[in-house]
Amino acid sequence: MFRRRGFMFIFVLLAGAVINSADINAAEQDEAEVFMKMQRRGFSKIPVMIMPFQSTPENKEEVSIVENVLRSDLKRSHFFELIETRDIGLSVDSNETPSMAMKTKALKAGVQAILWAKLESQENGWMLESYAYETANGDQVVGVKIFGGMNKLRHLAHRFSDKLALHFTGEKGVAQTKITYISDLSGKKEVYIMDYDGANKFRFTRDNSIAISPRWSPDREKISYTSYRNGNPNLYILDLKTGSKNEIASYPGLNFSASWSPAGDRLAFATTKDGNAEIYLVHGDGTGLKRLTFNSADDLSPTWSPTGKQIAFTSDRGGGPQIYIMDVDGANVNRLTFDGSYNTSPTWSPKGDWIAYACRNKDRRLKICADRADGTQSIAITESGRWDDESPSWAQNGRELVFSSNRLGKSQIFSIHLDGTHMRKLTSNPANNTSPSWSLR
Amino acid sequence: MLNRSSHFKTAFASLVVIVSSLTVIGCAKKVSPVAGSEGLAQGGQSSSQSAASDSASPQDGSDRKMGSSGRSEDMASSGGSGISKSGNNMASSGSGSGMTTPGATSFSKNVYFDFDAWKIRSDAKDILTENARWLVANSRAKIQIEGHGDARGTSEYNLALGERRARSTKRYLANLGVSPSRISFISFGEEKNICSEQVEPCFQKNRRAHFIVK
Repeated sequence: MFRRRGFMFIFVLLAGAVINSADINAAEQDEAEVFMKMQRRGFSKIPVMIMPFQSTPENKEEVSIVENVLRSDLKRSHFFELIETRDIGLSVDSNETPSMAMKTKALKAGVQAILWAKLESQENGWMLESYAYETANGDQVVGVKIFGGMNKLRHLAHRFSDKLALHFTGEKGVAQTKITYISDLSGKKEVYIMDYDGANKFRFTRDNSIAISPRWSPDREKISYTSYRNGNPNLYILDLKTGSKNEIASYPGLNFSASWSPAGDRLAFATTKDGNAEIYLVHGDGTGLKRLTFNSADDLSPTWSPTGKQIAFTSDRGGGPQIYIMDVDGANVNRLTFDGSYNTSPTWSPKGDWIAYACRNKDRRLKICADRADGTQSIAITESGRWDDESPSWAQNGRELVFSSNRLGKSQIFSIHLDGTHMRKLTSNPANNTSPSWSLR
Repeated sequence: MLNRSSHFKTAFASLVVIVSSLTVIGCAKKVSPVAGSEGLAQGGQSSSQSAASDSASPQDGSDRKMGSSGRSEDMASSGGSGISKSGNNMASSGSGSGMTTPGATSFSKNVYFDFDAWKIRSDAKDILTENARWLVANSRAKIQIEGHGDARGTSEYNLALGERRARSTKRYLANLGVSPSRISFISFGEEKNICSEQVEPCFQKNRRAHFIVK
């Protein structure tokens, strides 16, 4: 069911005709808002080949970093199949743009596009002049100058990769996105941030307390999280630009499990100030508190639909915890999950079609499951085992998730495709790394 | 009352002396957990004594183990401004309570819960009855109840579950005549687990309401 070849290939050809991203002068005019309604039926991967990038003895090392990061981005993207020059017996001079003869040879070997770039050092950083050529007729279909600071080599490759994803699939790539999570590496549970591929990890908070459930704002400029830094578990918003930290909910009891509205103007969260966990809405400055649930059971872990009109959440009103959906004013509550006795931590796909969550199996172990938001289909994404997978969070493309798992001992963060393939471990230090949230941009 | 509080102070001071003198001796790195577990051992003993009265309970054994080593790790690693303070309080008041009321009433540090549940178990009822007696006898003492869960739940739901455990424990003590105003509570969910192995005895240690005498 997830495999129907040919569909994607045809669509790519169509998309290629419509989208003109070949203009190198429009280099910095980034991503046009072209979203194609990608079907989930699967597709043939696009066979591409990276020609060795132009390099000099001075920048050989840096060029190699960019090439390798691009290679890894393309492999991760699920869209591309990488064919190496040596696989098709091509000997190349990296300092020349790919010749027509090379393109022809690549085409015969099944390569659809050749990727090539030049890295130039600039006054305060780097410029990556990056190209993609269709082999069928030799046309340059992507040409873009990407600028970055001295320590942004990986970022150059990520941007090239996202350009390629946009051109060849019409869909925004996720290579420039970030993941925030909790790590106890310092001995305390603090908020960390890393690139989508696990690179550039750094600690953002120094609360020296317990931090819980960090969540990106849609514009990636803020992170909400719960901390015991003032004793009580209160809800805070970190502003990444200014470094400021604002307490937005400090009611007696828990103030936790926040989720940003798609517009970024409000958060849904749970507090136990009424004697049990109830879901409230609140503005980013802590004003405008509005109660949504009225129930003696615990209602928590809200997640917004991408339209902003509905909220899915965990409730144990039916006995054990299950996933429910309500309108954003609290009306029309419907139960989504019925399999198993324990389904928690819902996260609504940015595309709206799926709600992923942590589901517990008969051996009392957690794994990652997903239901269609309309309840018509339920799938298990991770396999069962003697471990717990929890805290799913979607990539903006709605195809991949991150989650935490203790399958290798300490809890680490993994990414996985919705169809259960392409699982990758993103953290590997001796600490517990938990509660990931994937940014939407 | 005055006597008692001065006992508290004396006990705490002696603990401090033990810790600091051992530190001076020079095995700085290992000292504080060891001293911590000594301080706790008294509390641990008294609690396992009371637990020993209902011998069949599974938590009996785990309780005893905790007194010996598990908790000292918790204390050594517990931190943060508010949190480490409560850790210290726990040690000092633990030994204090043992000294002030020898043999009469004792105050146990933990009661345990079933998987996914916040109902007070019958073994916990005995402990809470004893704790309530101690609280009535020590009418100035205030306590905080920490609610905890094992790692098998999800972190957010465990926070809610931990709070339910703390609330039901508070309610039980209040029904035994302890003024609710003397009891505060906080949930840590699975955030401050004292045992990290993936086995039931360890899960059981974590599913607890933990008392801190203030």
